[in-house]
Amino acid sequence: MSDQDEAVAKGASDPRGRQAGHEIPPDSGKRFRVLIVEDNPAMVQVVRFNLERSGYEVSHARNGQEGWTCALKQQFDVIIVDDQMPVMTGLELTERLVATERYAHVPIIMLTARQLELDAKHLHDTLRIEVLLPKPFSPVELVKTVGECLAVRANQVSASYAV
Amino acid sequence: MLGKTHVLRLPQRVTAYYLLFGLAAIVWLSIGIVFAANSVISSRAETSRINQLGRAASTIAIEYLRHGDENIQSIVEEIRRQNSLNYCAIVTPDANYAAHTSREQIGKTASVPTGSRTMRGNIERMRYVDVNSRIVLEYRTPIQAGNKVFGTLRLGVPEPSLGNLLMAVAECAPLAVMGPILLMGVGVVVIRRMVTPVTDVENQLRVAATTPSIDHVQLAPVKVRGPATIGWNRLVNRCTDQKRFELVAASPDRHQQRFRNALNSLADGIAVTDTEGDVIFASRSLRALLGDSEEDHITGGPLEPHLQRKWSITGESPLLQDQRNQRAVADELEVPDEAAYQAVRIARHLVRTTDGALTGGHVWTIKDITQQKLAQRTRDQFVNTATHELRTPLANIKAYAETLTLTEVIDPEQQKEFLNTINTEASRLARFVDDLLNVNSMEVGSLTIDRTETDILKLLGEVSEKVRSQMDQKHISFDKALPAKLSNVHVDKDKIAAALVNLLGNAAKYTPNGGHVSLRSRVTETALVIEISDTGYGITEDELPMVFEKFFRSEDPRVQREAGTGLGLSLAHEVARLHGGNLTVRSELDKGTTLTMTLPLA
Repeated sequence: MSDQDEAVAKGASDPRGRQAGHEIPPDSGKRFRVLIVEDNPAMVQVVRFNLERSGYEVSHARNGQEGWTCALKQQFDVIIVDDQMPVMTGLELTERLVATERYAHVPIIMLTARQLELDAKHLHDTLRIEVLLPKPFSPVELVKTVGECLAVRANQVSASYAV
Repeated sequence: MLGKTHVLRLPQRVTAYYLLFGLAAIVWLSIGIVFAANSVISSRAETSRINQLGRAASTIAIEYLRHGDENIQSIVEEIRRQNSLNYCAIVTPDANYAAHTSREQIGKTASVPTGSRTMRGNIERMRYVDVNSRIVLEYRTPIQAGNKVFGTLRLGVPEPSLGNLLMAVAECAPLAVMGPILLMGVGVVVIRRMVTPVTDVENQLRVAATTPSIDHVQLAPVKVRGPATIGWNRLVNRCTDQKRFELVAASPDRHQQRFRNALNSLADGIAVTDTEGDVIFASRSLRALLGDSEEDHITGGPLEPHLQRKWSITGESPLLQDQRNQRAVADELEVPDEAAYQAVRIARHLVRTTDGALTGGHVWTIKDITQQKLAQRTRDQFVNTATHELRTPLANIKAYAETLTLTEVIDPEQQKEFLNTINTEASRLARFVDDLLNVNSMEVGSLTIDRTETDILKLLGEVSEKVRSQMDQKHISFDKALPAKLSNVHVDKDKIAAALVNLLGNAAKYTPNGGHVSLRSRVTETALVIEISDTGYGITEDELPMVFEKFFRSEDPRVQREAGTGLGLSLAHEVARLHGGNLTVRSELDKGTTLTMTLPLA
């Protein structure tokens, strides 16, 4: 559980979170952990490639159920979930995650092919989904989004500490 | 007009008149008899009195000649006694009573009564009323012998009494009256026999006159008695045969029935409500949709409770708003129960007259739109699936292409792998677009096959390779049982391959990890049989007949979790059919599914 404590401590205090901007240098010490929950292996591969190149540590789960197990085993800094997946959908997983204390403040990015049916504002308000990324999306955009989410989160956390 | 039904019927009237006239005749006859009897009695009594008078006069005359007036008084009294007279008297020529049965009158002046007086020869008859107000007949005759006149003999007799008259009537009445009465009885019987058919016909005509709808009148033949009844029976038979009653022109009632029949024949339910909102007509289809076949259960009350009972209509529905609303309103309602799912569209219109005035009534239509709704659901589901199927490969292609473009330094191995993925994803996209186009062709009937000589063993090998990685991912054991040698067949290679990839892909997709899929092929005398079995989720008996329908996808959540278009099986089925063959399915839930494709060799 030392991993987890470390991650929380880092999320709260690491100054890199604030200045990270769009890209985190691959060799700048402790790396952020990203969980990709996605059933399409090709999609996982390309997202992993891009995130790893940007210095993130990437884990992968094939569906919501696996993602849940993974998330409990390890603390992640950002979670990227696909919307439509077998066994457990992205929305179901998100509902579970936001209900737990350890993921209550972890940004969630959702990938979806159903952007027309899903209401981004509603999902943000109820499930705290930071970004709804419609497929097809640009991997560069995704990496940028992950960085932004972490920066915002770091600001919020430090702000709450300051008070 | 028809109110006087209490009037006697024709045959009874005829009989009554007959009896009335008959009785009048008998009364007339009786009166005649009384008169006749009266005159007979009178003349009979007159003759008898005259005879008595003559005998008495000659007796007294002889007495005068023999003994003078010595014993006259006793003779007078004797005559009275013998002939039951009121009195008997002798009046002298100088008008005194020489003798009188009332002795105190003797010697007195004879009375001169006033009354009617008739003379017959020398006999005089006086009819007068005496002091006791009784009618008395007094016969007078002179008493004479030769030329000598001794006086006048007076005999007083009572008028013949009513009793005598009745006795006389009773004597001759039976013969005179009983005869006609008997004859009349016979006459009544004969008349009744004659009018019986008229009674039957009249009864039927009365029913026809009082029944509101002439169509409902049932005419019946009557007992044959003469040409009139034969004629009636022929008319009745003709009407009955033709099931038509041309006696009266088509009534409004009949028009109404025609409209009812027409409305009842519509597939859409129709109801008409009056100004009070009560149902006055509910068509057969409407009753069927409401699940209540009895029209009586629906008519006479408002329609809304029935709608609420069946389709749990909410208060916000425009159908339940103000009835006076001028607009036509409509709403779509559903039976929420998934097993007995039913959707209807209910509309309410105001009923207007031909010149556009409102009658205050409404006409309702209920249309069963379950099939449309289900089709729409399938279509929505398909659009959903299609979006996913199009976007997923597209997302991958875009992601890989962009990564390759923007990454400056990349391992050549990695680059090749990425390009391969782009290729695979593009193929997947192409295949889906092909499927869509094929389904479209199938829909318009223009899907065609292009036969070439095909090495089926080679084709089966290629197909197996395409799905192997999918099987391996799920640790599914895949075995092939193919004959060592198969002669070439004449088929559309690409379409058969696509169909088999679909079938094997389904087997892999819907079989749990560690399951088993087998591909078998054999040749019978006439056909090539390819069989694909799996140990997958299977299909329920309910869904089995629908698996070859376009866009059909099982409700099983294990199937719903997998991506799929619902096109593969329908296309494979169509391809087999276009080859003159067939694709059949056997399945058991949780045990597995076997699909058998049969392609004729010739």
